Amino acid sequence: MTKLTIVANDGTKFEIDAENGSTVMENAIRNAVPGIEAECGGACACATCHVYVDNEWSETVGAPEVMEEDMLDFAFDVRPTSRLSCQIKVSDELDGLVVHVPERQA
Amino acid sequence: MVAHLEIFEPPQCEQGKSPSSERPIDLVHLARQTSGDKETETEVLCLFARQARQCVNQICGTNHLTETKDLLAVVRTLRGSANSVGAFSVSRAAQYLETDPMDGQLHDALTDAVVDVENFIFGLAR
Ligand code: FES
Repeated sequence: MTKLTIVANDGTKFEIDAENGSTVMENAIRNAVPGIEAECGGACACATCHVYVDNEWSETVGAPEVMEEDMLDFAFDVRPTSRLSCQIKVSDELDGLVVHVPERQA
Repeated sequence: MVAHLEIFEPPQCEQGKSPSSERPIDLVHLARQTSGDKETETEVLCLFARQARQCVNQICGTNHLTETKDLLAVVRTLRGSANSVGAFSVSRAAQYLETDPMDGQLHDALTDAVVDVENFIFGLAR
C-alpha cells in the first residue's frame, strides 16, 4: 500500500492507501474526490482527470507522454506540473505523493 | 514507458453534457469504439477527415452532385461515418441536410462542421 494525498480544490485532503499498480484517478474516483470526472475511464481520451502534482513530487512523477500531453491541451488552466491522473500509476517510489485538484475540469 | 490504457469503470456522465461531447470529435466515444487503441484512433480520424472532405466536395463543391438521390446517398454515408467516429456535429448537420438536400444554408452548416472537425483532427495528428 502506498500513501497518496489528493487535495480537493476546496482544500479538503483525501488521504488514501492506494494499491500499487492502480492509477491516481482510480483512487480519486473510489474515494469520491470532488473535481475528478474521469469521463473516459482512463483511456487518456477526455482530460477530465487533470491534477497538479505537488511541486515536491513533480520530478519523481515525471513528465507526461506525448499522447497525454496532447490530451492535456484540452484541460483547463494547465501548468508545468499538470498531469492526467489516469496516467500516473501508484508504486512504492510514489509513497507519500500529493496531487491537487484544479478548480475545474475542461 | 507505455501509457496506462486499462479502462477503469467510468463514473456515469449525463449524456450530451460531458466536455468530450462538446468537442468536434467526441474522443471518449471514439476510445470506446477502438478500445482505447490510439494508433487505430489516429488512423480512423485521418481516414474520416479525408472522406468527409470528399463528401463535402460532392455535396457542395463546384462540381457537386445535382441529382437529389445521389446527393442524399453521400449525405447518408457521411452521417454514418461521422456517427461512428464521434463527429456528432457533422452527423447532426448531415441529418438536417437530409431533410432538405438543396438548402444552401444547410450546405454551409455542414461545410462549417466539417472544417471544424478537420482542424481538430489535424491539431491532434500534428
Ligand atoms: S480519465 Fe479520461 S483522460 Fe484520464
